[in-house]
Amino acid sequence: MFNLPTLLILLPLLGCLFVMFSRRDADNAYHISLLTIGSGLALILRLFMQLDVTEKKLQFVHNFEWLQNANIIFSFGVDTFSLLLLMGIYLSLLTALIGLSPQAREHKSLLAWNMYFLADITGFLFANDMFSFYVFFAAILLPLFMLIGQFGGLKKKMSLYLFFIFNFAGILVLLCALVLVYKYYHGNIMLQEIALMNMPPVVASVVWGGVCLSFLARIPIWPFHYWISTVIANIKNPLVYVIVTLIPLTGLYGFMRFWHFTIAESIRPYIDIIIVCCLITMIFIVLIGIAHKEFLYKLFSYITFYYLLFLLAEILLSSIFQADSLQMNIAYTIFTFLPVTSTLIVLDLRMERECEDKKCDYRGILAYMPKRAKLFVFFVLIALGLPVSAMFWNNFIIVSALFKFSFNIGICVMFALSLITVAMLYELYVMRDLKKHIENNDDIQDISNIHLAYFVTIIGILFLSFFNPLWFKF
Amino acid sequence: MIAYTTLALLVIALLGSVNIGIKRDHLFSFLVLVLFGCVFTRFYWDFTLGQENVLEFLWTSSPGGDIKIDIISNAYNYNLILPFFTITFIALVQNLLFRFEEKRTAYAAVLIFNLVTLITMITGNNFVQLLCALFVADILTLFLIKDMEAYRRYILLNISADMIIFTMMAIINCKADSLDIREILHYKQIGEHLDFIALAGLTASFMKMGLFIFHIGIIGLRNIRLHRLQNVLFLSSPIFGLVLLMKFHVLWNASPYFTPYLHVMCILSILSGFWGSLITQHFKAKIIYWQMMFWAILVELLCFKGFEWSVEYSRLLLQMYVLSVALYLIYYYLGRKNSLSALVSQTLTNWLPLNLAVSFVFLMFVGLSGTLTAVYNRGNRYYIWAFAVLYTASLATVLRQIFYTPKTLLAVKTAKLRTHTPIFFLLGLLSVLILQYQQLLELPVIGFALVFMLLCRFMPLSYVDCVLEKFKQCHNKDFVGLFYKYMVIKPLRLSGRFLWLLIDYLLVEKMIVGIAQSSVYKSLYWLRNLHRSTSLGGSVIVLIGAALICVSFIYGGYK
Repeated sequence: MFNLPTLLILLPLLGCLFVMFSRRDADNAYHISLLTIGSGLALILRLFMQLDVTEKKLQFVHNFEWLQNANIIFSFGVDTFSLLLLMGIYLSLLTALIGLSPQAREHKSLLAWNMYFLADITGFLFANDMFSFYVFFAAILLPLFMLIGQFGGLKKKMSLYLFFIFNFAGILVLLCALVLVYKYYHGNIMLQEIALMNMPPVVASVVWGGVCLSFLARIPIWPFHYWISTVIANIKNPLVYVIVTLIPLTGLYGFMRFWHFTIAESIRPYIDIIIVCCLITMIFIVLIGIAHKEFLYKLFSYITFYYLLFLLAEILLSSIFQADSLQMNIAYTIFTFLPVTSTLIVLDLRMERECEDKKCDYRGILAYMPKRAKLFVFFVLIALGLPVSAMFWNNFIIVSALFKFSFNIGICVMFALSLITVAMLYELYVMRDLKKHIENNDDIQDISNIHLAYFVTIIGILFLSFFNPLWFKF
Repeated sequence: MIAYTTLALLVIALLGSVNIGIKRDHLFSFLVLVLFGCVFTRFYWDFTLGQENVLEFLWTSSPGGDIKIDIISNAYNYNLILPFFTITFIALVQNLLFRFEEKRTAYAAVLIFNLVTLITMITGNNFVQLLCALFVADILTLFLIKDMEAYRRYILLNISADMIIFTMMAIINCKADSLDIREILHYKQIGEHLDFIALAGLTASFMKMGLFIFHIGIIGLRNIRLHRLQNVLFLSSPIFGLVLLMKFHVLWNASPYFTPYLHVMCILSILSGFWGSLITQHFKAKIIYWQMMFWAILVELLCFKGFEWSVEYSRLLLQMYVLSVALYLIYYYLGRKNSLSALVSQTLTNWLPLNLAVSFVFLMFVGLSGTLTAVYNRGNRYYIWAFAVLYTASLATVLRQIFYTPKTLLAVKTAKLRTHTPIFFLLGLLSVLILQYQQLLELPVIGFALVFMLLCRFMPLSYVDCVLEKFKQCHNKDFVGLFYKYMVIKPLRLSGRFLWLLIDYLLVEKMIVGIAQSSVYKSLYWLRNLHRSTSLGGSVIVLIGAALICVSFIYGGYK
């Protein structure tokens, strides 16, 4: 019999099959996707009920022997950190699904690949051993490749090319590193044990260098940021956009799993380079965000900034903080961050589409969309640190810890954060600018009541997390 | 007990937020006022009793420390909250009496929410609580301003100030290992980055108060309704900035730069406020400039007394607010025109209420002089003198420009409007009696009152206008706005574009990706050539194959 984590991996795969064989009419595939995500969320809540949140180790561990080979065992398990991230991912994908236009809902391939992606990322988050980790880490790229190929916009050839260069290089490097680990361990190994393995210094350098590079290729850190910014600049489908913004999370999660306890000695000298790159990218991407006129690019800058902040926190603070408590602070922030960013993506892309359909000016749009305008403003303020979600004080703790480590790093981070805050706030003003506005109230459709109810529910979830991030754990 | 007061206020504010329709709005706003009045009475009762207790509950725990909500009731907090309670009460009465809000109850609710936030800020001792209060106050200000155009610069400056405060608190928290504000003394002992913290914190505080160079955010509010402007000036972010200053001065004071920086900013604010109030023709902008002068002198007075709030400051604040209400009455009866020349054209309408309003302004001016005289010995005398002289000159000039120009006086004479000497006489007598009762009837007060009256009546306006006219072009330039545009915004945008061009386009796209792309093409070209049926291609393929065999033979289990 399957245990709950395994069921959570298989459920989206099942959803994917159903979507593929569903009839084309009446949004069948779309409804199946919604049902799958809804069931998945229910299962996650069920898992939370059974989970011991005080326990540091992975729970509900389930092992599978592959091809009756005792050396290759797939092992899955969950902890509060991974489950919280998964819940955030589910909520953001649900939001993106809700934000799909009626035309996009008929794309069976889009919905099927979305389900497949969900299965992959669930497997990736639950992976306990080296092989399953690698398999799911690599498998995530397939749906992305297909989705970018299909919805990548005008420059999709270039986007695919960059995506291929950076990501496939990344998984090849990781494969080499894990093959070396396999050689020295003579078999599969649990993730948390890799850091404790004894390897010759040269091999350790190669292994850890490979691991780092493969994860960094996923995180928009200079010079790896370029592929994701190119891809994102051309995507206009909310679901694909949200999926692409989830990719850096896989790199970040990889770092957190591999560096759960300590940074390997062999790459410690190179850590400073990563930190400098992180800080430069942060300020650089934020300045570019200010220079760009599109809100989505500013949002991308904002998302990138946060991923880099989490990476910095993980790299720098695991030595001074208790690793688990820091991870939980990051997890609480990500849990809020994911639904907020996906909501903003959905709302903004929807507004852009409305404007394209009605051939009106994008600027000043908020002035005639009262409900959507209020939601948009509110979510921007939440994103910027309005004290209504767990993000607010967890950010405070993370930034404070960064200051503890280094004053200069803290100042750089706060400088970038202030800039992106001002940039996003300024965009709100631009969107509300009545001077450049020509259309009237009836031209543009406001948000429907069902969507409004959904977004208000999201606000409710975030608000409750302000008081207790694990409020749903009974 | 302040905690119960806060809770009661929160309930009233929530009740006021309920949408009850326009028809019953007046009645409901009256009910809100009555309820607020009851809570106010109870608060005043507690204030006189001086009850001391602490309400503290644990909000959440984190590795960085416990996040608690504290509402501390003590004499000091009562004393500090009382003027703001009174100002909110007057604002609610004003809201009820004048028809300037479509939804009076909702507006009243916003004012009460704002007061709750302020109380949370004043009584709190936890960094997270203070930050929450600051952020919530900024959002509430949006509802108070209700004008996105005006809100733009204001919020940008305030959020920037919030980020600075966030940084400052994060630094203190990381060194002192505590979220409790009382631990700043511990941080003071550690003493790292004290100068940075003092300068950054003081700057943030000035940004919130809208002092010189940061007044650009508040000047942008001149186009909102006057009553809203008054409430923003007296109940919103400037007050939060002041409270912040009072809470953190112990730490900031440790830096040698604190006092000089504070004095310089206050002097510049008083001078800039005076100059701005004279040169601008916008009536609401004048009020903003006077307020800027007032905040500067209040900060100076507080600095001299070690930032300890006392009854005199409460009285000063209240008198200033009531004076601004009196100015509101003038504005109201002059047809609510923004420009000074437009106001002048309305002087013959509403003659009696206007006369009363002017008398009211005079009365409040005398009261203000009295309080300033009372704090004269407990403050820096030069600052008080400077403020009093400049403020008197500025206010008198404006009143003279509106009511006592030769043209207006001639028009009054032609229209045969009655002068209300008995009213002035009675009000004058009343002011003398009040001052005597408060034991403030001193020579400087009488002197200032006389100077004020003389200036109002006999100031050489043509000469003043002539001088001001020369500088009007200069003032219209908006140098501070230009400074922000060309020194802050443009450089940031340009650097963003430059970096994008240099790093993204040239370095990554053209060099790294370009090299990768050309290497792939080159490799494909070579591989394609190798597979052609040429002798060279065949030889190379055979050599590569042989090399692979050798490598696998040597390293593939040969031993």
